[in-house]
Amino acid sequence: MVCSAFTNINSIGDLLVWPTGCNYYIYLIVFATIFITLTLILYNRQKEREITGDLISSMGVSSIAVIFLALTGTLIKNSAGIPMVQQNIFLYIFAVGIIFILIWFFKR
Amino acid sequence: MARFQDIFGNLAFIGLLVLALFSVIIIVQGTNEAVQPLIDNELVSGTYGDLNETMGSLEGTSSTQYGLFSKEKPSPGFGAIVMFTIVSIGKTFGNIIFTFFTLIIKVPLIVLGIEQTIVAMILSFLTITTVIALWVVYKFGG
Repeated sequence: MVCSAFTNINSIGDLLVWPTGCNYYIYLIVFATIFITLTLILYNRQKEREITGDLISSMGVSSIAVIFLALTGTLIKNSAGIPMVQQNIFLYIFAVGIIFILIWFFKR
Repeated sequence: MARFQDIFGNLAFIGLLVLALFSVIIIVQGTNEAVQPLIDNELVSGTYGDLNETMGSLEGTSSTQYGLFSKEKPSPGFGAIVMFTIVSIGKTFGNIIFTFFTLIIKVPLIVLGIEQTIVAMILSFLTITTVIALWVVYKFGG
């Protein structure tokens, strides 16, 4: 993995887009991590409140949250006009999100 | 066993939720001049259009079916009242269930490259559940 030099970082957009030069799928990994963390937090909180937790509904809620986070990422761009979350990465996140929403609603 | 109105209600809600997500994404990206808007993707724009059309036509379909139902004169059967329009309602809304499912699953199916056999298995399960739920509606009226 060869990263571009850490130069010409003039804005927060430049800084956020810079890791995609090293690894194209970096934000897919970041959002997957956020998804897992959020799911477990929601699941454990529900378990504390109601004794039994519902992992599927936690996943459904988290997937909606991650879609919105990724949407924010598509709006951030660097000085060269490259977005933080690129279209096909966002499409992956959206597709996985739909799967979890489908499972969540089918379970009800 | 799930009831017909539950199956239809769940799928209609998923459709509404996915449509709302599409709309929010498209509006937010359009307003903020995103560099790579999702609507530029042919698959997404096609699915969004089809979902919008299906959701929009739902009101018309419902009112047509209600019109047919309210016009029918119930005839007495063996220990029950017979109304044949319920079969037409079942057929129409049963088809809408499959339309919703096919539209919603289209994006994940193509983007993630899910095996056709998995979708076929889910679809067969949905078919059996819908048919049995419809039979319960025809037989017992709900």
